[in-house]
Amino acid sequence: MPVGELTSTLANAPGYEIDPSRVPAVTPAEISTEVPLKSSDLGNSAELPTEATSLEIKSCSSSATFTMPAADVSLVTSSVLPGLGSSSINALSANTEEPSELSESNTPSAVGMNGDDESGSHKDNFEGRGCERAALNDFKANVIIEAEPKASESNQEKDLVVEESDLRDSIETEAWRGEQRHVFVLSSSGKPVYSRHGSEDKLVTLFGVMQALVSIVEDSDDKIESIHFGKNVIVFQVRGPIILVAVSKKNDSVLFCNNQLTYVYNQIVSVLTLKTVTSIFERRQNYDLRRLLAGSERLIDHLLQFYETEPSIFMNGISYIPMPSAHRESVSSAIVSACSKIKNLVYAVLVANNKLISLARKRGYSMSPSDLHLILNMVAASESLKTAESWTPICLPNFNIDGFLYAHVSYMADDCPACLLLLTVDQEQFFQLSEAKMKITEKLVKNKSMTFINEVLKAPPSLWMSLHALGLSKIRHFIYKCRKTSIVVSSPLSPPYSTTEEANALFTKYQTLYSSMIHSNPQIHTLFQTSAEESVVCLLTEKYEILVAVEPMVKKQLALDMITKLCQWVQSEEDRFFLSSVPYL
Amino acid sequence: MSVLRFSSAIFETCDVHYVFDPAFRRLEDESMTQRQPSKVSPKNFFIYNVCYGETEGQEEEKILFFHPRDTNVDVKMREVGLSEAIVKFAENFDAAECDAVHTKKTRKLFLQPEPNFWMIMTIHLPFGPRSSEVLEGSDYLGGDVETAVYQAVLKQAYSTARLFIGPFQSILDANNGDTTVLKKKLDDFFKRYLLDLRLADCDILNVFDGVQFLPLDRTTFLRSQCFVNLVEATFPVVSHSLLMYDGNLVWSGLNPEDVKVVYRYVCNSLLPKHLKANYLAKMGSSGSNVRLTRFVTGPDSLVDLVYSDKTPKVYLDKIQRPGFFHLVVYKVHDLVICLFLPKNKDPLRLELYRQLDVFLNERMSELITEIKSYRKSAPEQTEAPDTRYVYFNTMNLATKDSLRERKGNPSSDALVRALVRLHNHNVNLSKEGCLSSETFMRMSTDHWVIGRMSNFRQFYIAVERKKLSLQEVDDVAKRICENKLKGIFFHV
Repeated sequence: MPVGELTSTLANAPGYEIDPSRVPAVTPAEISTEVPLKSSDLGNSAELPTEATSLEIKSCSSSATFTMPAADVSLVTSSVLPGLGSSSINALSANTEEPSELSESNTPSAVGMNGDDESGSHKDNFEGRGCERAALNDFKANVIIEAEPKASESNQEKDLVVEESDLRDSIETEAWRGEQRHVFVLSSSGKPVYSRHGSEDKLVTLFGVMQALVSIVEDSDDKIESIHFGKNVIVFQVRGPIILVAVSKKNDSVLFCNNQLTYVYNQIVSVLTLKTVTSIFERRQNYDLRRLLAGSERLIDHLLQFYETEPSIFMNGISYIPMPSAHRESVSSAIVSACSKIKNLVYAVLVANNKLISLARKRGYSMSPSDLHLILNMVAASESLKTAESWTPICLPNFNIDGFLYAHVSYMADDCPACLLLLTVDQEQFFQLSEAKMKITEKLVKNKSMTFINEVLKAPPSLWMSLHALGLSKIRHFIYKCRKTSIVVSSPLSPPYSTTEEANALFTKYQTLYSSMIHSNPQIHTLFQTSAEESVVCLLTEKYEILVAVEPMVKKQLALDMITKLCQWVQSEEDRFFLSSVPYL
Repeated sequence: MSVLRFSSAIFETCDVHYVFDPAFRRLEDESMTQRQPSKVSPKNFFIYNVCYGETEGQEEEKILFFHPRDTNVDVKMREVGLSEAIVKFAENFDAAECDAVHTKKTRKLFLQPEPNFWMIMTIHLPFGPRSSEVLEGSDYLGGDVETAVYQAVLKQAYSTARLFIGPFQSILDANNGDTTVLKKKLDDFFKRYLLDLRLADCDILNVFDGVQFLPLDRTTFLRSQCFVNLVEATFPVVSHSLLMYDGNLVWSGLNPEDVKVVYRYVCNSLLPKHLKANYLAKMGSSGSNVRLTRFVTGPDSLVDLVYSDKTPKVYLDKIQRPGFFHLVVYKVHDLVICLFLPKNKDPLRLELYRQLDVFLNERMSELITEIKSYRKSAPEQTEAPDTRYVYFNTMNLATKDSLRERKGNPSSDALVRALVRLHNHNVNLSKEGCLSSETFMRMSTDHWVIGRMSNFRQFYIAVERKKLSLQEVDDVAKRICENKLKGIFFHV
């Protein structure tokens, strides 16, 4: 009884921690499962938050009871009738608020169940190879948690379900074709790993074609990069055993799509480590990676969205929440003083609203912007982190692509949306870090930083006031990046860019101009484009890069003068936007 | 002018500079100059029809033409299969037709010129050091290749093929779907066409594929138009005509789409060959006074008793009744008139040529005097040597440029490439519904490129002068616009 075995693994789990970021695949219907297990003492027992206790029991019993049907259904799902599993769950959970999300997240779980036997063999294998145990733990956790909804399926409902899934198929196809951007991830043997829209199982043929295209071109000792048709583009990226494909119908540049795929790849690596990915595919070429990634789809979904809307990620830089440097320093010093004695602590990061408040690091380890964005994405994509302090392994590809860091993640207080992450290489440090966090909170409350952070987050000081005061009101929007520090300052979007559509149009313009400037040979250093909507000015200098939208009727020289003034102002206010020297732990 | 030369009925095997063999070409490049990147060169070129060879084992039937000809059948099939797969794959996402595929080493250009017919051209990317500063290591320089240029080359290949052999489907229809005749025609045409294709010399002018108009004042222009009308009235057998002076179009009675194909053929192939033949005849025939006719296409001599019809037959598409026409080209000094006579069973009689000669010679000489006197009164202003421009009017396909003057200089070539890039931006903008814009770009070399688009007209300028401010560049651009675009297109 594979399911029974695994369940008992949970019951006897030796105080290990479930990573909340992997859990989110389970959707609102079983949201209570998301409450992370919290280890509270050094012993082997895991103390569960009160509301989760009942669930624990339920999950155990139900899986024990329905072991056979569950296995049965999952088999059908993965082989005979793609989409059956998802729809059946859909039909069952009538109270679910987001059926589509549910169905997507459950498909891989069915396959996961199907492969229970293999998970056993993998266990041995991983340990034998000395791979990160955490990966395995996560894997188990996923299987266990997702056993619950499947177990409640019953055979009688199948017939009804098939019809419904056909209907859903056709609707989905039309809507699916209408999507503006797609992202697909597959293994080099053509096995689906991820699809941004629609369920991978329905797209199996499409995945097959992608794999074929890549391999045919590889046969002639070449590499497929992109397909252009109309204003659409399809971008291919091959990373070892993983193939990533982006489709855009929004006039995006190839560079933009490629960077996005790199982020998706990094996100996958961040969940599994490259070592795990490589060793799995070395062992079995047609391994279904979804088994290990179940739950991370939401991270990828969120990351894609994040990448498309956040200026700092597209400029490959870091954004801070603007605040007076004295306040930021008092926050930093509180963090540093509480953490300075902790060995193996690499980074201490305080974030809010997708931006940094403070960052401290161990000497010799800088934080790359793309790693930071993975962290920000994890925080923003995981609602579960809000409910309790948690302990999660995360691989930061630019720090160490083959190993995990362990993150103690907690929000500062119930009334403070800032989230503190303490990242260490020591897997056993949870309680030490939990203690450090308490100390930090205390200090921040004592020196009133907490109040101040709250104030800044609630009512950010208006950048526009400053621009008006400088006589730069004709500048509608800008993104400034300091080349040395990678720090990005961007203005908030206000009319005429306040709707998503308008904002997207502006970003697309920025992004295509910017990438064509960089890609051109020789590079373009100044670009000034006037159209009826606005003038977009992009400047690449040794010190900074800046993208600006100016009112269209402004004279060229005047616009350039205003931009020079703007840059000077940003530089003079540097300490408000930047953490000019990152403190060491 | 353009680098595409045309094969025609009077094609001669004159100087073939270029051997269409990529392997040979690459070898030569690498051994000669280690530090200069190799140039763009063609890898293959093929045409297939998706309606043929649908049963397994007979897929080869869909291939109508494949170059290089001696390619292994498996390789041919793989290339066609890959192209088909890419087209189908893209269809999953959007109905837009596939344009291009980028790989690390090549670019593949796609064109579906007629339903079910696909033309594919694959080119090798330049290979060499990334920039003149970095001497170590070599790379495929995809960034140096503007896809739009080669897409335009492919389109030109089709429109030229259609000019001579007609629409592909009509040939199939005429043969009850049998592909033999079409294959033969494609083979005859393309093997010569590709021989003369110099990809590395193609640039933004190929993208526009436009026609240069002659700037004239109202009176002179009306005089020219009257002359053409008179010719058509006197010789009712002439259904369309086209008047050119010194490589510039003066008047045409055809649709711009047809004009550009004929114009390209006449300017880049017929006239240069005629000049060359004349020159050789004068030099070669040991001083004997060979009497040359003023017919560029037509009989060699008007008194010849053994006369054979040598006029090229061209297909005109954008007219009320598309079909083949005799193209008679008659030239007096710099003035050239092209006459289109419907092709029927009878060849053109020598008598007609005699009448035409008598009628045209004197009248054209008069017209030349008038045009010359106007040109003298309104001389073209010459520009500073470090600025070059291209103008293109999307409505009438008019182009005007000064690009060729400094060709071959690497930094200038990079600037010309930047013009294509800028043009791509504008094309993208217009796809988004933005029809007018102005763009200034300063390169890392401190040179400027400027693009303007409005009213379906596009104007691009490259300024190869350092240390200019945006304001100064703007002034330079304004001056060129005023000087060059004043009163050119009044007759449109």
